[in-house]
Amino acid sequence: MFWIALATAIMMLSGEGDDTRAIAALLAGLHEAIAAHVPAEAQRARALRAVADFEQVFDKHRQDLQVFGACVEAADRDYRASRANYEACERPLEVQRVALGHALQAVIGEYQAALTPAERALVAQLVVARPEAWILDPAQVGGQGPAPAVESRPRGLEGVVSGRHLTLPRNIVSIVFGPLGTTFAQRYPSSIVDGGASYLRGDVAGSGAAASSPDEWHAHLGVRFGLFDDLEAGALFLPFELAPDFRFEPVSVFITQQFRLEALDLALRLSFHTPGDTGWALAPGIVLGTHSRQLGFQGGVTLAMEVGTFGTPRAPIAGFNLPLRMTWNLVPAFFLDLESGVAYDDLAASGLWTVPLGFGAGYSLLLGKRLIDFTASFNWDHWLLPGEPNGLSALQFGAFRVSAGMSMSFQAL
Amino acid sequence: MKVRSARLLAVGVWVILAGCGGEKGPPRHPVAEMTARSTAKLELIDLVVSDPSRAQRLHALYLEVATVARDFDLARARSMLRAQDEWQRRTTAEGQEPPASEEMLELLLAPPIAVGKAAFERYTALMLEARSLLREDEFETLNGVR
Repeated sequence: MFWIALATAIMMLSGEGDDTRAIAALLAGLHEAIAAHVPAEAQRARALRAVADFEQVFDKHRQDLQVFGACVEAADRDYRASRANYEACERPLEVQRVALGHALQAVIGEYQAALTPAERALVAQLVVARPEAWILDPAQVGGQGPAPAVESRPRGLEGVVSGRHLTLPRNIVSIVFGPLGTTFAQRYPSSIVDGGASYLRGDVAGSGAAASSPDEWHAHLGVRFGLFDDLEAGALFLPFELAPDFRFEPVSVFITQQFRLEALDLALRLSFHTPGDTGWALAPGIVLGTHSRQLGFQGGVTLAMEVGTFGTPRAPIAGFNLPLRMTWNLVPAFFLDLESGVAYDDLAASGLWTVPLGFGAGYSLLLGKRLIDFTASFNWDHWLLPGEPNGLSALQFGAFRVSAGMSMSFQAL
Repeated sequence: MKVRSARLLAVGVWVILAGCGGEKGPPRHPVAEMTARSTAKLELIDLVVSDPSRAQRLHALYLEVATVARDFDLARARSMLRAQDEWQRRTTAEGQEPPASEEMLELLLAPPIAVGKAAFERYTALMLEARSLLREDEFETLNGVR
């Protein structure tokens, strides 16, 4: 019960929740206690009428506040609104408050006249014993000490890309059909996940290179959702290979818990694929990020594994990935992106060090309640192979990936 | 998917959606929406207002709106706690004297009116200053966010 009380208090204090339900619970408690413990019918009916009157007064008070809120909203939305507009909203409140006092005076008078002191004491005991009616922990409201700090992460869309945190704010939804947004550190031993439409060319250079694989086209659509202030979950749940063969690809799921520190963000991320050619794939890892109005940096380390399935067991393939990304907002709406890092895709094989290299760009457009990011990227996922494994050239320019698309974010509640 | 499974799924979705509807009752306090309108704009200011100094001041203004709202919420909560103490005191027959006043109920509904007036005075000042820092097109763009 403590946790319910605490959570409700926090919701209320953050402006997200409200005390309406608590007051309703208290009223319900009064109803029940009177109905069950006042034997004389006339007194019982009179007391219940007083409670019903209190209910009406509460409702009227909230209706008045609703009118006030609508008036303030109209002023807030008018560029030419002046102090007089705001004062006009506030003017009726004082009179309404006096009327509220009079109405409550009548209610309490009726209630006390209806019940004996012993009955009132019993009803008070029963009402006080209902924890859902008393949602507030004195420590939470600063009753005995200083007020709690103001919530540090606003619940709204984040605009400038270099200034964004590693997770979406609470209640923000992002429909993903573009690169650069979600897929940092999403490298698996035999695949690399990216949102949007992608074209892959596989002309590998070197004496040991196999015949070129055919060009591939992919389209990956998904969603991200800020579940709590620093917890995000998402999935690319409509992943298709369009060519050379049309097929449904494994679904990628990612869950990120962020810790906002003084100068940087630290996030624990778990990503996985539903079974594909190599079975289940997992990539737990840590991501670090700094952000500012113009420059953002991200780095991380992930352990990527492909482990087969229960039906088709196979020796796990494990590798690791240390990705780096720099985002530079030339202007608030337009950014450039540079990616590199180090990866080792199979720890059981030798000489597989890989340095990827990628570039990207994007434009953010605020359209009413929606923020749209148009993004494009060009990546050599195996750009430098210092170990020249299996006779492959150290530099690989012929195998690359081009991705483009857009993502749309909005506030869900 | 078989027709029966599809029907079951549809019924399940309907039940979940119906469950999310919540109970009807008196409206919520408007302070929550007033706060949400400001915090929804906070991180978008840099995208809309290209001048960094204006953007910085606006950011501080909208953040202060959230602080004012938070302080008002705290005042509401403290007032409820005072009501709670009064109810607690009245759980015995001896505690029924002196007779309860309307304050015991009023504290449940609202903090002292002076607290609300002071908070709204500050809110008004912040909103008017925000206008003075924004061009009309910038204001309308931010206005559209929530």
